[in-house]
Amino acid sequence: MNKNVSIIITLALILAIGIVFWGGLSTKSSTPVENVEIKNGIQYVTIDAKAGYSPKISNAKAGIPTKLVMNTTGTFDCSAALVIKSINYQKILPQNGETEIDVGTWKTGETMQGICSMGMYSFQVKFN
Amino acid sequence: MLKKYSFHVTGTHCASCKILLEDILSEESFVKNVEVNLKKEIVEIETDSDKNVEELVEILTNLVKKNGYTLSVEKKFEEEANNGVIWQALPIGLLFLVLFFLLQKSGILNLGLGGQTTPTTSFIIGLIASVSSCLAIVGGLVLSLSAKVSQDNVSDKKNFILFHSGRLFGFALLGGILGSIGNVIGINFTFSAILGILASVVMLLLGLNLVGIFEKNKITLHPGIFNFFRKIEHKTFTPLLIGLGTFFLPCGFTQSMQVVALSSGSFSGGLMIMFGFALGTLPMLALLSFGSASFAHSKYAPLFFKSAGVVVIGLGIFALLSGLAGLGIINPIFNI
Repeated sequence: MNKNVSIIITLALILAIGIVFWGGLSTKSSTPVENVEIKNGIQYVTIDAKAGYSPKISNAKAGIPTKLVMNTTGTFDCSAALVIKSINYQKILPQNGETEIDVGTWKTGETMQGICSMGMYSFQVKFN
Repeated sequence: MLKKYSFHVTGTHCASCKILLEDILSEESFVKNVEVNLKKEIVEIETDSDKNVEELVEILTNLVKKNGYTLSVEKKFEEEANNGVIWQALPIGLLFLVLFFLLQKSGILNLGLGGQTTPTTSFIIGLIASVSSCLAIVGGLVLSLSAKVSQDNVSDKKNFILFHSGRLFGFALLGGILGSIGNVIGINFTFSAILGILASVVMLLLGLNLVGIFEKNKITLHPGIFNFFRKIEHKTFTPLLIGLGTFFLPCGFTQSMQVVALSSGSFSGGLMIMFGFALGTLPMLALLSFGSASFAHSKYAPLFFKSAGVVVIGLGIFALLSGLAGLGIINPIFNI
């Protein structure tokens, strides 16, 4: 194989990896959706966990006691192994069902991050 | 009277090649003294033989040929050829990485598996897991170790069989233990994350080694340490233990299955679940290890080692950065 050709292919493939990771090929929407609900003074943020977390970014209100609701439907992949460092939470979610996690009250401007144990899936909840 | 000759040697991929070469050559009766210099790729011998230099080269090469070494009077210009190989290996390796990450992103692997987890479903989950992001760590480790073992010409097939049996029976046994203990212990995330980071460092080192970064300046350790490594490499329990150890590597699927095994509530229940899962991951992992063995013994060996090195480095970086993010040390970089 010609060296120059192979350098060009190499650069193209590196670009392709970049697009896969950070580009627009995402199958899941990263724009905030309506997944926050306030019931009886408690804020519920619902997140689906299966092959990643959805939505990846949620906007919630600051200053209200908040609970995360993790939805799993036949989830066996890494997103079932949830870690929320800031509240010292780590648990393997059941394969099917809803898991409520009390995350306490957050201040304006704070962001809570959840990540799976291997670190390739994550989500954020922004408090305003 | 002793005469001194020095020959060029090719095929010395491994640091322990020094000992192997010296062992083989010194068995020959007319070789009185042998000294291998890996850095310069030179073998120096002292001999009382009257044969001329060409005859000596032929005899000695025949001795070491089966181990993949060649002796020559003139330095063979293999380096240029090697430089060409890396430019073929780089796109090949990267192509595999692109396909792998595209597969992760495609969503094909998100099959709905609801209901009760039986040994059959855990087998299917194992099949999925073996091509999922877990492949980045478990598969990457298997590929790098297999390529390395094949390159070092250790009895690779035997080691692979031991590794896979270690994995199958280790999973079954540990699954059974989890099932019989029940919910008493939790599997520590931090422990497996640290193991994962260790595994990715091993992958990176082996990957760089396979690509040939260290070829120019092979790290030369004390011969005693080499002997130690050679001994471990030949020990039966090493591949068995590594196979068993993959139980603790971070893989979301493995961790989920461990919880299923925990909640099965019986030794046989947990055993069947984890055995089924490990059996499901077997085809892919066996393909990786035995595939690399057959490539390693073909004429495409240099290209294979370098391509595998590129793949392993890519997976190693991915696993390392993800692992650090999982531990909360750095911000998550990947979100596939």
